[in-house]
Amino acid sequence: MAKILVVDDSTTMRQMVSFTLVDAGHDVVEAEDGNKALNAARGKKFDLVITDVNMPGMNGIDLVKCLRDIPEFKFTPILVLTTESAQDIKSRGRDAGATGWLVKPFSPDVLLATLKKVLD
Amino acid sequence: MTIDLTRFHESFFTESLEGLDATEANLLALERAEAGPDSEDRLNAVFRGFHSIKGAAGSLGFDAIAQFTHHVEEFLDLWRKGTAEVERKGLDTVLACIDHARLLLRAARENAPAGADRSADLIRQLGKLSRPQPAPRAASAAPAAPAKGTYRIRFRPGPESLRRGNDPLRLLRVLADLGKLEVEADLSALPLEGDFDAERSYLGWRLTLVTQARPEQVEDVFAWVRDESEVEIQSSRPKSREDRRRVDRRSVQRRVGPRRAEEPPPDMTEGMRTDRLHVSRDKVDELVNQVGELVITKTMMKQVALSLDAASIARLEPILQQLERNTRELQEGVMGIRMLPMNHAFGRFTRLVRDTGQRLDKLVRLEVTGGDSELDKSMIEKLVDPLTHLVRNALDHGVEPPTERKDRGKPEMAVLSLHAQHRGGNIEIRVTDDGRGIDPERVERRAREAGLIRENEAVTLERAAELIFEPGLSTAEQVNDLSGRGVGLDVVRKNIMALNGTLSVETWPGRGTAFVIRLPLTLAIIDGMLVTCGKDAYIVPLAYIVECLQPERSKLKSIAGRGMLVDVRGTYLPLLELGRVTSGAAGPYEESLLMVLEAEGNRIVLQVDQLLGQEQVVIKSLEANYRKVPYIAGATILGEGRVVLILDVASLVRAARE
Repeated sequence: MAKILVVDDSTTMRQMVSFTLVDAGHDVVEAEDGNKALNAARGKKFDLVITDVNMPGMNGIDLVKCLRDIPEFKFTPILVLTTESAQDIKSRGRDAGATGWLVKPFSPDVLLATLKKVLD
Repeated sequence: MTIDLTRFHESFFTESLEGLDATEANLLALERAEAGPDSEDRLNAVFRGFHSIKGAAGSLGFDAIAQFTHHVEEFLDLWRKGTAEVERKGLDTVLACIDHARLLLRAARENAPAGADRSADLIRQLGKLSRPQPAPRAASAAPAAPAKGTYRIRFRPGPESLRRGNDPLRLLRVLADLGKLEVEADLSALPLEGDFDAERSYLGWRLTLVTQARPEQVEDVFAWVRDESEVEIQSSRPKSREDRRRVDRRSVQRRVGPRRAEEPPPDMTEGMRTDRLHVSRDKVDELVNQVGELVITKTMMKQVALSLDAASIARLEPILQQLERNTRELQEGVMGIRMLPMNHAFGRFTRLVRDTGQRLDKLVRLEVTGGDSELDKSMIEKLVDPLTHLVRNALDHGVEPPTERKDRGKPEMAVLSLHAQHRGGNIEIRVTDDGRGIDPERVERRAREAGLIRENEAVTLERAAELIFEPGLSTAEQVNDLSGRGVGLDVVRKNIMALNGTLSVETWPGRGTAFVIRLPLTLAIIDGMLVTCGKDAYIVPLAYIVECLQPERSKLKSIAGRGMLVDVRGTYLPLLELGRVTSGAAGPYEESLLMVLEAEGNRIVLQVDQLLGQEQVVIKSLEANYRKVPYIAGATILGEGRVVLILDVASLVRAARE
């Protein structure tokens, strides 16, 4: 069981990701945007962070940068949720320190399959 | 693992429809405001609105919605990047796209996909406005079982990959899941002991994978690390016919979409009815708190009740009081969950005012205040129609064309304001325009034509303000598509009264008109005065009671043909004996009690036998459980189990004045 932080301003997407993870036996913390995610992350340890990119307030790319500056999150896998067309988001995400991306739309099965790349 | 996606559907529909409302508001704000620092944020928010729907729709399998919103998003991206200019035609088209997205969402919610033609049409329009866009990739088809192949892979992760959370061992494990994997480590790059940095990656691998997986699947494993790592994949797998055919099949699928007739224009009020509530955490916490208190009080009562004697009965009293307080607060809390800010109704009028103003060639600005005042959700839903009518009415009859306004020395841009405010247990909603106001002469002319007034009756401003609510009176010079729907202000008033509310009008000739709606905060529970009349008891809703008086014989005047009047500090009000209405006989005047009631701007005096006190009552529909009874608004059950009727004050007032 892993502890996972899920960040997305869309309730539907956030719930879809988090319900899927919870069903798979993981422990999930949800946040609506980058700032709330940072608050949730401070002083805690997560095994994985999954974040949307396009959010009001602090976006996903900035969140990745901020998280990488926190010692506990130096090596934590961080996935960004992006759309197929957003090639530059992928590279911006990588430059910010994201581990990888998950292309929207995705099915719960794809999400679970992807977890293998980032969780032990 | 199969996951039931349907449980996310309702949340998706609710969220997306609300998101579209916000998107529409942002788009309209974008249109109004000149380019400024806000406009970029607004544009981003509009983009995000469609982007979110696209993402969720695709994930939940609503492909038609995903594809449609994808095109809108691509178009908006041109605005965002500045490659295309934000202009009127584009705004109109995107607004039409918002309407259509609503329709698509509702159709999907009803499990009756529709609107494919309209989608294609709007996508074409968007395409014309930008440049021809390449079609989006269709959702990938399910893979058919392909032949086995062998992949020889050389993989050396970039030195920084660990630092970005990519553990190469996990990637190898994912590869191993695809088939049979042989791994040979390449240690040649390992540094001498002293130079070893634990945060860097030095290893490389030669891998042999035998699998049924397609090349894309194998490549996909390395997608995140490809750019910074050395990855070489050699495939000895024969291309299957399936691979070669896949492209063709996709393009065929797109061409044979269902064809439907043109959809009717969207209904303003639809989409208000969401079946899920978004409730703030504070409200729920407060409720949980209240339930806890209630449980404690119950336990205390139980303890006292177990050892009941004369002394403990005295101790029971404060606990009962506490129980009453808990119950009341719990009730308020539960009702609060159904409360929504008025903005839920007000939000959609920006668009209505814009579109209607354009159609009538009038310049109108909408101002909304007090939109965070809360009202029961079901009331808000029922208010949309009457409000829509009042707003249309104000734009149509109240607001003058720009040239006329200029001639009168008014600014060409008219202001229509929607204002909500709590007053006691009620909410007051005002629809105000700064137009021409009600013209008594015009109303008089119409009323005379319609035979609503007597031959020589003069029409004052006050009388005119009442006459406009008469059925059959329309002051529109010509019937048009806005007000010529056969629905008049009389119907609006009826709808408001059905919500236990009142509708009145204030007008200032040449300066404007305000329609005022007063409503109880919730439909289900009202404060009432318990009164008796003969053998029966009745509830008079508190909202209508102005004052209670002791009867004085000297204040009672009889006027031939117009019944009895009571002098209330110099104003003569008609007297209605409740007994005469209910049983045909009233008790003696001197032993009775008088209540001054006001509804629809008119006052009467109601004579009852006795006042028993104030009660908070839950309204039960009499119509639903029995049948409609004149002068009765509903029924309720009192604490001791007695059924009591609730008076319909508005109809009593009307009866008394006739």
